[in-house]
Amino acid sequence: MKIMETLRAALCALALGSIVASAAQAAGTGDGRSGKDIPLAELTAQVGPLRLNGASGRQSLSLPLSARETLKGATLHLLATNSISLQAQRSELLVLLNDHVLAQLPLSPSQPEVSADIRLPVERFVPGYNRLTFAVAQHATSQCEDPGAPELWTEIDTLKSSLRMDTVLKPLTPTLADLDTLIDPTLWGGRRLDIVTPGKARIDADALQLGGLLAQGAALRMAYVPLPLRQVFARPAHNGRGVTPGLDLAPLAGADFILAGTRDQLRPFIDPAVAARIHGGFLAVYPVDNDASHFMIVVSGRTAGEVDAAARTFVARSLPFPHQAEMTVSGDVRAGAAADSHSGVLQVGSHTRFDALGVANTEMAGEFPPDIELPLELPPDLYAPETAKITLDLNYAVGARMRDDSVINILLNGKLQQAIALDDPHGGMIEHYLVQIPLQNFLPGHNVVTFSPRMHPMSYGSCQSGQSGNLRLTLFGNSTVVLPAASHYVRLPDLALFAKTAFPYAPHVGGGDVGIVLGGTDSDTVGAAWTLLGKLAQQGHRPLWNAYLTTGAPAAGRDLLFVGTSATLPSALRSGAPWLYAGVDRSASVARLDGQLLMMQYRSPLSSGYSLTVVTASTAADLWQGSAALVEPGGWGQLAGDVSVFDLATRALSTQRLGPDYTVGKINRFDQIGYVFSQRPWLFAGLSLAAVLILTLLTIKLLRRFRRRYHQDGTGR
Amino acid sequence: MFALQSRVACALRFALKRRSTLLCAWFCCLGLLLFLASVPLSLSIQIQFGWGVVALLLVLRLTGAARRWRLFFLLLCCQLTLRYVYWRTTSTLGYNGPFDLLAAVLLYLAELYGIVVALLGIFVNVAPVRREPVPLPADRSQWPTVDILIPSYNEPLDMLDITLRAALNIRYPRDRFHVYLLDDGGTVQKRAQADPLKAAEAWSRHRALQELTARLGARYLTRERNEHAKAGNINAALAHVSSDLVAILDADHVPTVDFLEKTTGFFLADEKMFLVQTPHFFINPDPVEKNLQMFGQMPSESEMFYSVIQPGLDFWNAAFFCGSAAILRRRCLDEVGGIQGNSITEDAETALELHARGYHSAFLGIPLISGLQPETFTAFVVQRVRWAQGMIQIFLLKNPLLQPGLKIWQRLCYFSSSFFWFFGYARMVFLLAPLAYLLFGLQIYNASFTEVLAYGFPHVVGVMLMSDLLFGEVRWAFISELYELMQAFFALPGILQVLRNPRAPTFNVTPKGEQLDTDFISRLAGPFYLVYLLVLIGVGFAAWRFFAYPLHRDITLVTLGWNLFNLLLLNAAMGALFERRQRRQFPRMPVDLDARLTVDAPGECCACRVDDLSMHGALVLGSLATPLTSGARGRISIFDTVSQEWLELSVLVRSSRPAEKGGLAIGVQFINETQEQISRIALLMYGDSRRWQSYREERKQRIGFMRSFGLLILLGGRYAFAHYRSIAQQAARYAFDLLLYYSLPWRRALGRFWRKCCRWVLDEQDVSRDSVKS
Repeated sequence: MKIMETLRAALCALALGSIVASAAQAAGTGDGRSGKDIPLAELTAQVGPLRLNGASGRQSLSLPLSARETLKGATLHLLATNSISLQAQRSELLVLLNDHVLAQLPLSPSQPEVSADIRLPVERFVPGYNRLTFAVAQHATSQCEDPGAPELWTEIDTLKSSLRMDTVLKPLTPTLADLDTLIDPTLWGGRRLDIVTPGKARIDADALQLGGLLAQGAALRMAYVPLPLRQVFARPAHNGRGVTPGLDLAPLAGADFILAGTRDQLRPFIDPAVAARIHGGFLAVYPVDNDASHFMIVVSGRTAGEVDAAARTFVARSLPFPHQAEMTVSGDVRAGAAADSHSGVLQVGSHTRFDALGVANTEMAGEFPPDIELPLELPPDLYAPETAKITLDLNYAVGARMRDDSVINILLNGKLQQAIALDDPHGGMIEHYLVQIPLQNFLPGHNVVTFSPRMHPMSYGSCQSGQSGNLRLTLFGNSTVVLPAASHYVRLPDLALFAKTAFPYAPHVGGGDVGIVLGGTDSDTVGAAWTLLGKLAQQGHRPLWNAYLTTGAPAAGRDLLFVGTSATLPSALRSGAPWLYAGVDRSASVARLDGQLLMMQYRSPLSSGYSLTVVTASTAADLWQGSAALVEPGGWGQLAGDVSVFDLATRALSTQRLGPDYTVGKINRFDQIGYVFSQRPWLFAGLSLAAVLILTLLTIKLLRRFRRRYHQDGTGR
Repeated sequence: MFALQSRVACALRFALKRRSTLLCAWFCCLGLLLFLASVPLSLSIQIQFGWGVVALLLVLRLTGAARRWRLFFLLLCCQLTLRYVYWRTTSTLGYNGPFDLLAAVLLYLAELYGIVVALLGIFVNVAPVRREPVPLPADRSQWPTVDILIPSYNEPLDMLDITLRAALNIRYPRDRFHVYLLDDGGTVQKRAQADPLKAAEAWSRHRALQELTARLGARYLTRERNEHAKAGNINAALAHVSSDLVAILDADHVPTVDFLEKTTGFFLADEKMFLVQTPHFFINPDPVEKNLQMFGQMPSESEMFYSVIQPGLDFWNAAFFCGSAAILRRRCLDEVGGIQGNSITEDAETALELHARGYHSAFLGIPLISGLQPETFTAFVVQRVRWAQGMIQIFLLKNPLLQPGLKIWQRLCYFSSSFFWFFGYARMVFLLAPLAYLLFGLQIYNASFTEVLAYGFPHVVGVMLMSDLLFGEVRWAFISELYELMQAFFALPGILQVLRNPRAPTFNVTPKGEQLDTDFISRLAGPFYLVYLLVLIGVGFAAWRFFAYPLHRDITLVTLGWNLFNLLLLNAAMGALFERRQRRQFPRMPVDLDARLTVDAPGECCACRVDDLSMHGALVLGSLATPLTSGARGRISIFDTVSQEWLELSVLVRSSRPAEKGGLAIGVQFINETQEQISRIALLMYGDSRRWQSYREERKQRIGFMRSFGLLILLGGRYAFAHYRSIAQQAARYAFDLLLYYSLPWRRALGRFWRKCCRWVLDEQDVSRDSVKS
């Protein structure tokens, strides 16, 4: 249930992010007030209308609201259609906000179109995700009604129904403990976040590395919501007051920002009193001078090492932050960093209890109880023969005297895999009920196994007295999920896998083997690299602590991500590129990247067993804009093949598979042979036939020898 | 199995030590093949591979290349089977509950049994040997001396008479062979038994056989006590005989004249030769052939063993003694203490002992005897259960894999011969396994339909093709299944008895030469009815499952198909269980001999041909000017191809009818034969091995899977119907008897009432007549 809520919220936040981004883009700035009508379709992952079936159908949406915002008003414009078979006096549609009834709308067969404008009371909203629920009581007859009768339905038109939220940003008095709510995916208002570094036109190596860490820290706080990041060079000014009296805030108007650099680098821009408090790694958060609705984070230290420690502290969300605006980072933050490196990925051959995955003993009661959702994070590069299965070893208790069509449906990513019949009239405790699901049915990375019980009483309807207290099911947290023996071995290039799991960049704990090569040091190129790095951290659910960002020569022995204009791709990285474009190939016949962003993946020419992903555009401006747009769900979710081209004007993404395949990872010889043969069946068939033929010839030879030796008398032939 | 592994390891070490490049390469190649069999492939690739190999096999078969590329063909089938075994073992066994697990393991073991038997079958039959007789030296004094031993227990005298006459007719220097009748039915113990009737019967038999042997010129031997059955009988006789070789013939096994000519040469050619075995050729149908009326139309059941398996075993110097129609070297027998008696298949056990001592055996594939098969299904079962128990006794008491002295290939051959007899277990499991799913929903095979399609079906087709190539001429597809099914019901309890107590089974003599006066249902049909009913219920359950579990329709259909196949087999079995009458004690054999028939009454003589012949009569095809009447007397001269002389006999015409190809078909009965003439008839009838060989060759034909399957359906439909009709008739007769019995008071009351009525009518008539008179 929680998972679904979170997912729903995430999707909602994603949608919201898109809406706000487009709104902010249209406005040119985020002014902190949002009043756009949003179709309900954009708040749900469900395609098509919301359908409320049965006697007591129910559907919910999540409405995000950031703690930074004040809700001024919220109005729901609702358009629905109900069945003309309903009984008018007993059928109604309820609208609930966080389980409080806001409206009751009669469902009449004579007027099946329902239209209503409902004001949502702002006092019922809480920061975070709010649940907007549509529930129906639907009846077609007063006699012995089938609660699942097909004529019991109401449909909410999610395209024409809309929600209007009027919010304004609150003035902030932030502390470091508020960091997670400051960088908040539920924000309705604009969410521009800039990283401000000292320097004039070229970013230095330390700042580049530092920005990469900060980008990941910010992006991880945004969960699934894309976060385009800009790099801004700090320009001196004379504001005369505040924390940053020497910083020109004009380029940062309407934005939150992170100011990062050593104490000496920042001294010209910050209040001397603040600078005087920098005795080590320094992390602080303040309202922006002259604009208290936005915040700025200062990451500093006396040395580059101290700044790095402060940045890592910012990234490590598992570390407790004080309810203070400033903190000095001392000691080793690696322990916290290590905790953040754990992304909950199940290990091959492991037995993992459900409660370790967030599903403790859970009781479900009633006919249609909420589903239990078990998140399973699989390694993205898992390979096993087709016969491999993931086993769910279930322990559960089930009530007695249920109707024999009661079941637990077991779904994987929304698709039914198996059902357990709850048809024992005596109920009981079931231990070690094994459910086996083929490994190949799972997706790389994140999966959700849903346990959806449907329990029915023996007697039903108004004609019979019945009770539903026995409709209970407890799934115990000591149930386990068992991964089969498998290898980490995968065929690349695969931009779809890259988009979903950040493979091959995320699996390396700490990102030690990841190198990000920048084609330039300009703000756009750097911003694009940081944006993509943040996205990779989001997709991998953990920071790439040691990702190495460089503008110099790419290092061997790493998976590489090149971000730069098309002309700047180093010649050492061009070999093996699946697609030639102007800049890489100087012949006139090749395509040009005008207003397009190209992403392509191929085997790293520097070292075998590693990959190179190139993100490039003809200009740096296109590169940043393209990257910012690509990380949006509409673009990122469609990446596939080994070459994807994103058109900045139309926002359309084209994908192709052009280059050769290669494999990465380790696999035992036996499985590898199976893998190779599965890829090349003719090789297997040929080898088998050859082996049979040779064995035949050798056997004939041996038989002849045997005949000569043991049948010398010549009486046999 | 462990011993086998260690032997294989030894062989490998031996190969390495001897630096036999060829052997090393063979082992490497075998290892590669095993490795390839275990390589995990994606399902779609496995489907392509499996069915691709099946397609290749079919092409080889259809183009006739399968015979030329025989070994390649067989090894390709092996590859399919090995992939199946690996997948079946690693992917389809899982725990779904205790009963499911039990059923799954039973099925898995049955499948493993089938696969091991199939693989051993390839090994055994990889290069069958076709031997020719070894010529004897011109100097007859160098020919070995032979004692022909004919053990007997309760066989009819007529049967022994023919066997003794034929044995004495053998073309061999008369001073170099002796014929002995070993009578176990007239032993001192039998004659002295407490039951006076049985004792008198034993005395009678004793005297009659003494008189018979004396009359024919054979020798009579009996012993004190009936110990160790047939083996004991022979061993007791060995104390009284002393020739170089010992020929053993069952009481119904009538030898041809060249029996010794063609076999004894092997012993002169090879000093280490201890056994020459020849095929058992049968001139009457077994009960299945008889009841399904397939005798002569399909290869005899024993043909597979004597035409393919024994020649295959012979290649590996593992052809074994089959109890009769064989010659053994006396010296070798003495070395192991005579015929072995630990098991009730003393023949195979004796051969095992002598092979383990390094002696050689040979199988000569020419039929040199003709015998009788059991007439009834009951007798057939008695024989087969004895074989099954005996071979499993050998498996347990003298396991070939552990027997010292044997070569590894001999171990495998003997293991194959004894392990095969567990078929009763496998066949019963295959019969009941689909019911486990259909009736009880047990999950006995953890696989999807696609997986079965990828691994299971290619393996099954491969095994069928392999079996067809090896045995297709001598055993039609699905006929083995029918025979095994019919024996399995009784072999399985026998096997279990041996497993419980390996020394428990006792030797049961197979009844031969029985006569059946009427058609009847075998008394062993009971278990078949029960299983038939279950299988029928299984079909009903399959229909229910098909609609009740739509998600499992593919599995339900596969299981239903399996169940229906079992139903077809059971149907045919039902037909075979309906025993046909068998009045003729001496079988009539088709022949084509020149003859002259002279009929006394019209005084006419004509040249004719003898179309079939028995010990007591013949069917003659000829043309006579005047029609013949039954009872006419005459004489017939038949040209004996064996002795190249005319045999003249007095005859009585029993029938005369127009022949299909014109002329008359005249049935004649031999009358007033002299002893000499009877011996000549026996020679004429049984003496020619070429005739038996041509009969065997005529029956060998390959008909393919579809025709064989059609035949199975046809036989089941046609003869099971007769079975059901008989049941219905008996049930109707029983119901009628019941009706008669229970209606008796009513009938009596009705009779009384009728009589009263009649009396009343008569009285009334008398009264009216009296009144008229008055």
